[in-house]
Amino acid sequence: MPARTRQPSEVPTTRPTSITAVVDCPGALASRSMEGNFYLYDTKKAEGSTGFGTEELRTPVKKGDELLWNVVVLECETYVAIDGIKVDPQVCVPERRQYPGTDILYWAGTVLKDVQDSVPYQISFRVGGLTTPIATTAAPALVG
Amino acid sequence: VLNWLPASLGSIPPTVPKSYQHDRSAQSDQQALTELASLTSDAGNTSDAAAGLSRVGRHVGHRTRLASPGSRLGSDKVLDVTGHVITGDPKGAHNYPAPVITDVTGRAVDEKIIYPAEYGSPDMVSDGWYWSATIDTSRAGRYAYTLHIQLHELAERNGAYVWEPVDFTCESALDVTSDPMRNAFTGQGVGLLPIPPVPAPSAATA
Repeated sequence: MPARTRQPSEVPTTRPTSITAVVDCPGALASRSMEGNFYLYDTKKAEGSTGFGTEELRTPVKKGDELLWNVVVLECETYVAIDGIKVDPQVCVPERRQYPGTDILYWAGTVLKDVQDSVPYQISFRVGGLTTPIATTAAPALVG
Repeated sequence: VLNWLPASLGSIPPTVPKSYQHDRSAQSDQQALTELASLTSDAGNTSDAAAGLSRVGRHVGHRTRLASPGSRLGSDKVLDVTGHVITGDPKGAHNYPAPVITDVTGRAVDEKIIYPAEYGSPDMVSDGWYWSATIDTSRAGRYAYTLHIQLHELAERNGAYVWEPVDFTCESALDVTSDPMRNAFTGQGVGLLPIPPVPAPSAATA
């Protein structure tokens, strides 16, 4: 397993905000693009998330929030994983982690400061057998 | 052929092994026993006893009781959303079990447009159970159907934690068309899916 994957030293005592990408793997393979082939959801709908089920999900956050990104594939026999998340490092530095006892990955990070407006981020996915990750072109965001 | 595969947002994804919760429970029991063995071998050192008991406690967690004898949810420990056994108040950050489809009903079923049934398989997803249906595509039209979905709520009953079922329904519909057959994933004609013939080793092991 790559060295940058690690286990958290402490078990979280509060529920993190989960951001889930539902990915259509054959669709992404066919077009070599994530556009139109993934749907973002989070667990902050009651607190005002917008763009639910789209590529431009906007998740409300505040300093100290724990964020967790993971993937659910639309077609269960396909392989998709998050390869990286690019976001302003002054706001969050997501780390690659794995569910203990498995090789299933997720990404997690802490919101380092309150967000005034909107902080876009980009997710890169490993899709099927492709060696080159495919990045999102739309801009989901963390919002204040 | 249709497959319905429910997944819970904000939970451990369905791609982990179907025995994941049971495996994690067993692992935490083993870790607790190891800590306990270490504690008893150092029984003379009382200053470390409290710290040792605290270490044991980190692995004990809360085991749920079966809500009913036929329940699919086993008597395993409550996990958080990152797969760790919860040792504090489990109602704070626990992982929810995957939703369970209990039935598919409605016009599409009554008029025999779909023939839904629940199947068991060695599939690693959905605990080996999934709902599937073949479709009579010869009769174009819109056919409504109802998914019956069961979620589970963690409740404390008589000093024990129980996953209590809560039932919901979800209305949906099928549009059966007479258009030429096409690949539903790619939108193109019927043919092979765009899967590379030889997966790259680096991606396959990630």
